[in-house]
Parts: sequence; C-alpha cells; structure tokens
Amino acid sequence: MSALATFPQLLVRNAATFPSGVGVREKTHGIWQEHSWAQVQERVRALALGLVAQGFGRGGVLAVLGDNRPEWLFAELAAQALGGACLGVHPDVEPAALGPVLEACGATVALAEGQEQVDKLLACGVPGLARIVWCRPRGLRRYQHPSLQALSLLEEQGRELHARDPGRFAREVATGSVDELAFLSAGPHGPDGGAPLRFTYRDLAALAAALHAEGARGEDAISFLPLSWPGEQAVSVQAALACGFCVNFPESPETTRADLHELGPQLLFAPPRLWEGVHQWTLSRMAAAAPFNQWMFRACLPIGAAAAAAREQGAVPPSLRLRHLLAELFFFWPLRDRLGFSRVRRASTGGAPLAPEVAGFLAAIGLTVSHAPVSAAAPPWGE
Amino acid sequence: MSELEVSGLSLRFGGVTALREVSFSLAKGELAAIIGPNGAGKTSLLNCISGVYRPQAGRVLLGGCDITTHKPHQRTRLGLARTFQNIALFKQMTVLENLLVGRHCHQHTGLVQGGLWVGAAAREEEAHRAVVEEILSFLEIERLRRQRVGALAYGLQKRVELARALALEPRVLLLDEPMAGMNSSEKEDMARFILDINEERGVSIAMIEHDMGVVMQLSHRVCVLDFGQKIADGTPEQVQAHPDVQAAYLGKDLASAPSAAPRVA
Repeated sequence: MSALATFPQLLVRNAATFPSGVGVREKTHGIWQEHSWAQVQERVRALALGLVAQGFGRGGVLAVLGDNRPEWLFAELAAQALGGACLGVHPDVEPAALGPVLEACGATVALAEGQEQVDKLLACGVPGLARIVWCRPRGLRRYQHPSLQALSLLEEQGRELHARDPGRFAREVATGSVDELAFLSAGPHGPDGGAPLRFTYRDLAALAAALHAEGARGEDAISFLPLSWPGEQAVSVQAALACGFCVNFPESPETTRADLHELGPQLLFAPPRLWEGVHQWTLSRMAAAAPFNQWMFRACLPIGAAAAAAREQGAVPPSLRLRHLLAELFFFWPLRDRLGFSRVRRASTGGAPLAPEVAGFLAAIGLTVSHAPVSAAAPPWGE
Repeated sequence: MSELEVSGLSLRFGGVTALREVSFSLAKGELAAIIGPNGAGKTSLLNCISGVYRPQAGRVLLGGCDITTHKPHQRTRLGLARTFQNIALFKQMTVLENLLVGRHCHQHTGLVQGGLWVGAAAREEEAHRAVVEEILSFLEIERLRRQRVGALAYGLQKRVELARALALEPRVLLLDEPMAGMNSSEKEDMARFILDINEERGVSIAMIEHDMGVVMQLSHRVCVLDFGQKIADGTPEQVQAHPDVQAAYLGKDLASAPSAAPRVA
C-alpha cells in the first residue's frame, strides 16, 4: 500500500482510509494519549492554515527546534502541506551555529519547544525570521518580543481560516509533488561539518525502503532519535505515513526504556546504541541477581546460542529442541517481556552493524535484529 | 489583606528567648526571605507558623483566620505547606506515593470506602493522581515517578519534598533552606522552580535561605532576624544597606555605621 507521494498526501490518505486508527501516541502525565489519523490531520490542517495567515507559502522554510514530540511532526507536515519545507535543527545546537543555518536555509518561521529554544532563536537575531512559535509556555510569561506567538493561537487562526475556506487545505496538499524539497537537516553530521542536508520526498522514500516496513499498518514503533536526523525522518515520518503504523513518543528521553517496556512495540528501528545498551543492562542486572537467576542465565544462554546457530544452518536437532523450548518458556520469554520486546515482529539496526557479541547475545535470547543500512546521505543513526 | 500575618510573637524555651515580639507579614503573591545568622530564630519562627511550636505570646493569621491555637494538620487544611531543613520524606516509598500522601488533607472518602475501592473513593484517587501528575511535570521529575525516594540524589530529594508541599495546593508555602547543600546548577534549577511556583501558580512564599545571591535576586522583601528579634524588613536593597544588618553579619567593628538600636544578648 506504500505509494510514492508527499507526506501531507500520505496523511490525507491515511485519515480518509482509516480515520480512527492511531497515528501518533504520546506519553504525558503518566498516560499514553492517542491521536487518531483524523485528529492528526485536523491538527496539521489547523497549523498549516495558521501558517497561511502568517504569510507562509510555497517554497517557504519552517525551522523546528526541540525534543521529539507530536507538535514537532505536526508542524513539519503543516509546512509541507503548503509546499514548504521543514528544517529540522538538532535540539542541542549552539546559538552561534544556529543563526547561519537559519539564514542559509531562508527560514521565516520557527517552532520552538520551550523557553530554552526561544532564547536561542532570539539570541541569534536572524532578520528574516519573522515569527517564533512556541509549544510549552513554561518560563515564557514575561517575554514581550513581537515575533513570539503561542502554537495554540496559530492553530486558532488556522481553524478560523478553515471555517471560511474549507477546501483550502486539500487544494494546497494536492499541488505538492514528490520532487519538491521536503526536509532539511541541520546537525553535527553533515559531510562538511554542519551545512544542512537537503531531501526531497523521493530521497526520503528511498532512505526508508531499506526498512522493509510494508504491512505494518496499525503496529507500533517508538521514536528514539532526534527528528532532525534524516534516519528518524525515514522511520517516524516517511515509513510511518506510507505504511500507516503508529509513532510513539516517550515521556522524556530519560524514560525511554521504561516506556519501551510499557508499550512493547512490534517495530523496533533502533540505533546500535540501544542494542548495546540492552546487552549491557541485562549483563549488569544478571550480575546483581539472585543465585538461582544467575544459574538460569548461565544455563539458558548457551542453549539459546546453540539453537540460533542451528537455525542458521537449517534445522534445530530434536535433542536441542526440548531444551530450547524449556529455556524459552522459563527464561527467554520473560526476559524479552522485561526488556519490552515481547511483541517485536521486526527489529533492525541502522548505521554501523552490531558488534558480534551483541548480535550473538540478541540472537540467543530470541531476537533477530536485521541490519537496515538507512545511511544514504550520512550516518543518520550515529551517536 | 495579607495572606500571612504574624504579630508580637514570643517564644521561650525555659530561660532562653528564641523569639521576642516578632511581627512579620506576607502579602498575596509575595516572595519573602527570612535571613539571619545561625541561631537567630528563623526556623523557630517557621515552626511557630506551621504549628510545631506553640508561642507564649503573639498571634498567627492565615488569610485573615486566627490559627494561633490550631494543630499543624488543621493549618495544612487551611492552605499552609512547608518543607524542612533536613528532608522529611518517606524514604521507602516511591516519589508518586510520597506526593499522594501530600494529597491526604484533600481526601474526603474514609477508610472503609477507600479500603473497598468503590465509587467515590476510586474517582477521588484518580483526581488526586491527576493533580500529582501535573506537579511532577511542573517540577520536571516525571522520570522519577516510580523510584524509591531513598535511592535519589540529595538535590532531587529536595525537589520531591517541594513537590509534596505543592501537592497540598497551598496558598502559603514555607521553605526552610530549600537550597542548603546543593551545587550551583541544582541551586539554579531550584531558584527557577521557586520563581515559577510564585509567579505561575500564585503561591505566596516565605523562605529561609543562607545563599545571599539567591535571596537578593529572588525575594521581593527580606526580613532579618538576629538573636530572636527582627532587626530589619524591606526590599533587598534597603536591607543590604541597613547598618544593623551589616553589624549582625559582619560584626560591629567592621560595619560602616555603629548600631543605634539596643542589642539583646
């Protein structure tokens, strides 16, 4: 069902074909909050038309600064719906580096997550940046700068415009083409150390092809890496929209492991860092475990490794099959559940291949992690 | 009308006078600091306000209501919350549980209903949980929700204690050395949270603090105690220039102007 189209066109298609399916899920206030595809479309439409009211249009560039959250994605899709592009800036960028990037890309509007990013945008003082939109009001109550505006207000303007001209959004989306500039990535990864990388929709679709995520409709994936990385764009925007799976945003970067355990996603497109972390975490927890658990670990791991090796050769011999079944039942399955991998259907790593000991460990506990070389332009999964 | 009004407060322990005729008021939305050398009576004053000590003379009014003879839990119900100099949390419980304990004063269903977990009790706990979650996110400690308090770093425990005080949804918050023992980045965070609590949540705050940089930058008003007596009360600038304050902090010989007021030993 994956067709080549612009991101907003894919969104409109998803909202029309499975409106109540969950498109985006986010953990806030300790609860997973869901946005259906229809709700995602409504938010994107409100934002896009709000941007129209600000004079943003075809060829425009919207910069986004902040940690991953649904609004990040909504703003990107809103800019793209109008034929503009999104400039994803790494959230840790220094103010001194930010100004030149914004100027080089011609950004006229910026979405800032909160006070920290607003401060940076104000500090770099780019004259072309006419509007700074913020998500979280925290700490901004005293700010008087004329270019500042709340995201909710922008959406309000957009909803008014939609009420006056209900066909506007659909017309704008329909005129988009896959060879237009879709995304610019600014971060510490470019070949010449910081110049933004440019991607059309076609480029990002090619990047995402390596994931082989077709048929994943309605499944869950977690957004691990900054959306300013091209690799994260390929997974959480291109593949998610094209295949119709749900992108889940953890509560905060620190809670990712706990959130992963709660969610148990079917799709895991994760950097080598995560897999290495899983390996290390298990080893250190086992070192501190009760003697019986340690004995189980020592006894089961070789069985799992032998079974994985045998599977690779062809078939698992009957003598091993029973022992592996017991190990699976009493050890590997509970362990995978504890790690948040109980429902994993497709797991892959990008960038560099996994170290042999990590790959061996994962295979032994029953996880097959394929290597998806999502690295056309740069090592998008890097540290 | 002031949120908190203390007038003519005197407190004696046997022959020792801890507080002598201290008056102090906190206007609505005000952030005031109480400073003074060690043993000046700052914590005694806070303890009299929160009901830990019973003063021999004087009155304490909270929002116009005389609470001088109220028990601490009654004061809490009227909107008074505090933190302690030495952290006073339940160390074996999680952050979330500690905050829910803070909601106890707002709980209306009883033991039986709560124990059976039916109807109103379940609904009530959900509402309390929502308030607590909002505070966790306000103080940016969502990630610690399920962690045991005893296992947390000191600076974070201080923040959890502040969170628990906020869970009471107080009108007046008393902070006893909120930044004691913190490093500079922890202090910076705490200062930001105190300001946000004061400005965004509209809570009136009286805090004892020794870090003069923090006191002078944050407070609207500073009250100085020395040997149980109030020696100055005014804006940070006025207080810094006050000769008695300089004498109390630097000693009489070093202070530029000699003290005019009689000193009580």
